[in-house]
Amino acid sequence: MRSLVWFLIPLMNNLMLILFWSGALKHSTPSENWSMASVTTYYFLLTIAGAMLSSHIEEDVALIDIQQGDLTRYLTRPFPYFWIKCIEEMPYRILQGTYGIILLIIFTLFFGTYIRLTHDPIAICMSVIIAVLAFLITFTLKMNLGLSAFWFKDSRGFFELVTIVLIIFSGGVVPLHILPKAMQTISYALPFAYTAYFPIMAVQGELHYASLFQVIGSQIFWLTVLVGINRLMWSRGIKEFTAFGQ
Amino acid sequence: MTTIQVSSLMKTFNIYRKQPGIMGSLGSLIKRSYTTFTAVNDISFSIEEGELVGFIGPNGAGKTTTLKMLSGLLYPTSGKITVLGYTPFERKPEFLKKISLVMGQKNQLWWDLPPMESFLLNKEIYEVTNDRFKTVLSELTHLMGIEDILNVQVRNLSLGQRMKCELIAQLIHSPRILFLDEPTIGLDVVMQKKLRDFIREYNRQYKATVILTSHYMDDVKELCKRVIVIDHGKLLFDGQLDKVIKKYSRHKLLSIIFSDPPPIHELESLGQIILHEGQQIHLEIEREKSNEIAAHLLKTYAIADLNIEEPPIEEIIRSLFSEKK
Repeated sequence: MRSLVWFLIPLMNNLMLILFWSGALKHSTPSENWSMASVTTYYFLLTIAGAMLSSHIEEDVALIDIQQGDLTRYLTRPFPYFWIKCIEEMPYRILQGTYGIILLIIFTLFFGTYIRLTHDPIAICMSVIIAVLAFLITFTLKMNLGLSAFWFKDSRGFFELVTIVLIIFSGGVVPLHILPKAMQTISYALPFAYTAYFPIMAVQGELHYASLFQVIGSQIFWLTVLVGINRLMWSRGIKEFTAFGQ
Repeated sequence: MTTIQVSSLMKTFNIYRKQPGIMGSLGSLIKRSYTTFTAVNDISFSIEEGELVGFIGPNGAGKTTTLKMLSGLLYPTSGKITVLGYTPFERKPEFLKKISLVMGQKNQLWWDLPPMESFLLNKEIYEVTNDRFKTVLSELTHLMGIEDILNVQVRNLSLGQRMKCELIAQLIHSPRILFLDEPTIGLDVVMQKKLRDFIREYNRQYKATVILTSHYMDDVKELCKRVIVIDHGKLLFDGQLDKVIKKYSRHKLLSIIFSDPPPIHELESLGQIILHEGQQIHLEIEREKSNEIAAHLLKTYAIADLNIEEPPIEEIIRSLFSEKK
């Protein structure tokens, strides 16, 4: 029930954006890549991406595990903390993503003309790879944010700030390709675009094979960087862990 | 065979000190003051395989910190620890598969699921074979007497039942070393006794090394032959429990029931009267003279019953702490 509510909140926000764009597009000429069909598909897929690919473990890691000392539960087990948390996170993502997929199927049955998805099997397979990498990027990024609690007593303001940046630069408000050129350049240089915007573009069939490979390459690059930071933060931070409250 | 070797172990924490009030808060934005707290101060000891050792000390003595360093949770500031040939803080999977840490105040079971789910998860994590899992689980649940609650949600179990399940979850992989931090905390006396019996039996059956911290002296008295006493991070005593009693208790207690009215004046000259209720007297006397005084009283007076007792262990430990301060 709780996970359904968490799914419904971003859904409502995205439905509002669809409503906004439907009004805006009535008074302007739709472009090839920004029509009512692409708007509707984009925001439906954004809801699914948010539910399925976005991890929210930073507060769990920082407040419960590190500051309240629950990390002790994981440290005495012969299994890496990173992967235990990742496996713990997966059921939530799958469950919430399933709500989105069910909703998309129902919507497609009634308003099929408003949904535009790729039918190319190769593009679909590559989209799945991009989606998995997107999840791993957000998970590692959020894990790293959480690990900052080894040094900082209260990082919640910082978490919120990163979340705002992530929403904007991952295409959470508007698709990156309709942003001003400078903003687009910044967006593509950051890892955030690879967590939602590019996976959505891939599923919509907006990317050619070369672009799909380029996205996967960039995702692997960012994942390597984030995992490297993660290893560094963990090896240094764990020596600071005091297990207070335990 | 030595399973745990600790030499010159130290752990210090930097603790932030904030002045009270708004000025203190503003001041802390500019300059923060930290003090160094030494939780464990240069302690050394070794523990043999199969030993059941009690860690005794008041709150903040450094018992739990030591246990956390032994189990690899905390990184020592200095000193050396070897547990089963491993350095605990490296937390190698082979090492973690051989130890277990049970904290009485912390629930490691999944709150919303039955304990069986946690047992199954641990089975996978510790790579326990199906046959071994079935055998160990059946032995442990039988020892604990909890066969009927394995499929009940943890949130619906009593504290005692939860603690039993907690122990089982930590023992599924048959650890060779068991670190128990206040395992009987919050339990009633019946449940404490059951848990102690279980720990003793586990130690005997699996030849496991058990290190136990507890505020309940009954736990230590009943389970541990050897105790390590620490206070303010320093090791005060390491040896057999009966040696603590001999070393730090200079008195014995004579519990006497006289057939006639007790000779109060003479008794006062022999020792200190702790209790006087009718014909019954509790007399605290010097340890060395206890036999001589008892013989004298038996010869001189009509006595219905006489016992020579050690003072309560709590008192001895208390005197040990106050003496070492």
